[in-house]
Amino acid sequence: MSKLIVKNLKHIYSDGQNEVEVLRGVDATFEGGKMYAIVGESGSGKTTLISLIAALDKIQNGDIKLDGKSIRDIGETEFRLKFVSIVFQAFNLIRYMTARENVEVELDLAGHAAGRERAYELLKQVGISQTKADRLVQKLSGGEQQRVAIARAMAGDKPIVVADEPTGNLDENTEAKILALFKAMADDGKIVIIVTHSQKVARHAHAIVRRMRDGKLT
Amino acid sequence: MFKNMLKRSWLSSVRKPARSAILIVITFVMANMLLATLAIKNSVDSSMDYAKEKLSGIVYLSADSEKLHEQAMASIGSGEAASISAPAISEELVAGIAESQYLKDYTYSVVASGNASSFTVVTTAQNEREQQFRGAMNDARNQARDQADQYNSARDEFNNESHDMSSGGPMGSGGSGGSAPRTFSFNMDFNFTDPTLTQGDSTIQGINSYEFISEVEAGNMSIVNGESFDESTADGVIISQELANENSLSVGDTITLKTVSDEAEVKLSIVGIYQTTSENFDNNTIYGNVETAKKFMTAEQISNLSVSSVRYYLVSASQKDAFLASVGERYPDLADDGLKLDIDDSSYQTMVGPIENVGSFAVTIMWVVIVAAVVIITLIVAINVKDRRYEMGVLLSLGARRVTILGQIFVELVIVGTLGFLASIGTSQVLASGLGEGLLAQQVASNEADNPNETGGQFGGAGRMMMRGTQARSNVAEIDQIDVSVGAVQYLTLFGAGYLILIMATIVPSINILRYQPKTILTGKE
Repeated sequence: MSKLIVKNLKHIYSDGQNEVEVLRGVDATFEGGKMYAIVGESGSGKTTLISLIAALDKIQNGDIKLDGKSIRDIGETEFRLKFVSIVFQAFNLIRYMTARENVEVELDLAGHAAGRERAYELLKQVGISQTKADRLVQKLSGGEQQRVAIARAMAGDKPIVVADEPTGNLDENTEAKILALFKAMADDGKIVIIVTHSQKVARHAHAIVRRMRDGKLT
Repeated sequence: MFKNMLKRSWLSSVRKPARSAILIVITFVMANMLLATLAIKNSVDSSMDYAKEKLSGIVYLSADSEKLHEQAMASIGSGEAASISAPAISEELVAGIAESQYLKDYTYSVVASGNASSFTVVTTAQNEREQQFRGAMNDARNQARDQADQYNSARDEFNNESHDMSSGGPMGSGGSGGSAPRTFSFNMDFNFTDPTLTQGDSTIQGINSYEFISEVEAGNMSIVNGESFDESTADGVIISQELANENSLSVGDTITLKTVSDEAEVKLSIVGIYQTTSENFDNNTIYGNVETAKKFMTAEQISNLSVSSVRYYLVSASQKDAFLASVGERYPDLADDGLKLDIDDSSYQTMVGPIENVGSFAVTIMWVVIVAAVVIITLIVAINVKDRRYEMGVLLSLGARRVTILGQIFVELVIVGTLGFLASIGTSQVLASGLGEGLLAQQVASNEADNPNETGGQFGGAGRMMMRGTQARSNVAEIDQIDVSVGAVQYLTLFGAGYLILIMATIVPSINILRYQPKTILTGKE
């Protein structure tokens, strides 16, 4: 099982005139096979934290290590390519592609062969039929688009899956199904970290809850 | 990964047909303009090379009129009497320069005068005027000679009287005042050896080959009976058809002329009869080789002979500079002697003037099109990239490398650009021909409007041959047709330049987005 260690992580946002210290020394350990829910109020720094874990931004202070290797040593692009999958609240799918083609992008980047069949298979696992799989994603519903995003995250088969408010735009019924998919990935041995402002979501996910407050994780 | 990049490019192109269509139309229009201007420029260059090869292969040796003018002005400035005397061009100098390895041939001519003896000259309005002029000049000469004789007699008489005075004449050696007797002495004399004042009724032009006669080179003269002459044709000449008809002369006949100086008879054999289309041509002109012409000159005239219409024919026009340099080394004082070697630039300018303007215009259009293409395509790509920054952020978040994202944008442009370029292959030839011919016709018309009376004039008398030479130089038609064809070189240039433009159009706006971290792009904070 993989182990992700966050050590004394600090991060400051600056607009040129003002500086805001968003993370004030975050320490945490995330293990494979477990699902974590980071909760906190808006502006508490939870999105910044998972952005750094997903290597979407550069680490300023502190370190993040996966199985003993620092992201800095691995390189952000390499880390994103091989070790972390991301699911966004806004789905972040490529709009001019079909659901299957979106999944194939990840499969291709991860170097998987037989992309088309595997994409159908993954989409089927998240409840997207072949007919819908061949539709442009902009013609799918919000829940379906989030399923496609999850299928894309699954396609990479990477040890870490992070999700930023993955159910924020979905109804309760769909939310439960989406959370079940994340749980299944955790059961598959991956480190799954979900960021949410909702305690209810954290409870429904049966996740280990970590609270973000004033730039620190408790 | 590369395969997926190509796939994304293809999907982006076909799933956004409006954007692709706009880019195809823009690249199509620009490719057409670029191909047309390239083809016109190429055609213009070819025509100019042809003109250069045809005209610039001839180097002329002549008096440097500008230098002579400057010398005359300098004389006036220093208070001396202004005088311009053309420097002599000796046969030795001409032959020495002709030894250059860069030459394939050379020519020069000498002009002599004689009086018809066994035949009568043809009367033309021109030679009537010339005869009147010669008569008037001869009268003036005789009058001046009489006056000079009188003056010289008076001088001698006066000098004799002065001599008598100094040797004790009426005043005596011990005359009043005791001052020395004044002595007057005149040593001035007059002579009339100027050949221009001793013209005969016939002109004998000596030139080393018939082909080099300026009228022949200008296409105005041809042999209608018999044959031409060359350096080896001893005493063989060609005469005009008018002169032959007037005297019932034919090829093989012998004619006799008398020299102007001592009226010695010179017998010449007619080897050919020529016809000329030039107006106001002196049909009493007899052409032979240089040695034949010299028979009408005195020994003094031959020793002081100055040849004219000296032309050197280069092996290759590209060797012009090397030839001029080699002559400069061998004859470093050529310029100081008031002589110059130059290329027939006026003919070249006349010939290529309109087409050169078309070429300049084509180049201007080409650069305008290139700059416009870069600006327009870059702006469109910039707008496109800005619209797609979200997609770029997604791809970066998935681990795609920046270079592959850049590659995707470029490949998309290559797809639409190639379609635009390929479409232009079918239309550019028509556009290039139409544009090229239209521009040239406009330039030719403009040229004609600016210079409505630009025709060579006729000059008689002593300067005739030189001016004919000059006329022959500028007696070239301007290029008024252009064969514009779009070929492989233009297509290769189009594709090369086109893809270069696309690369530039891709890199600038894309780098502006891709330099940011994925989070910055995805949150729209770049």
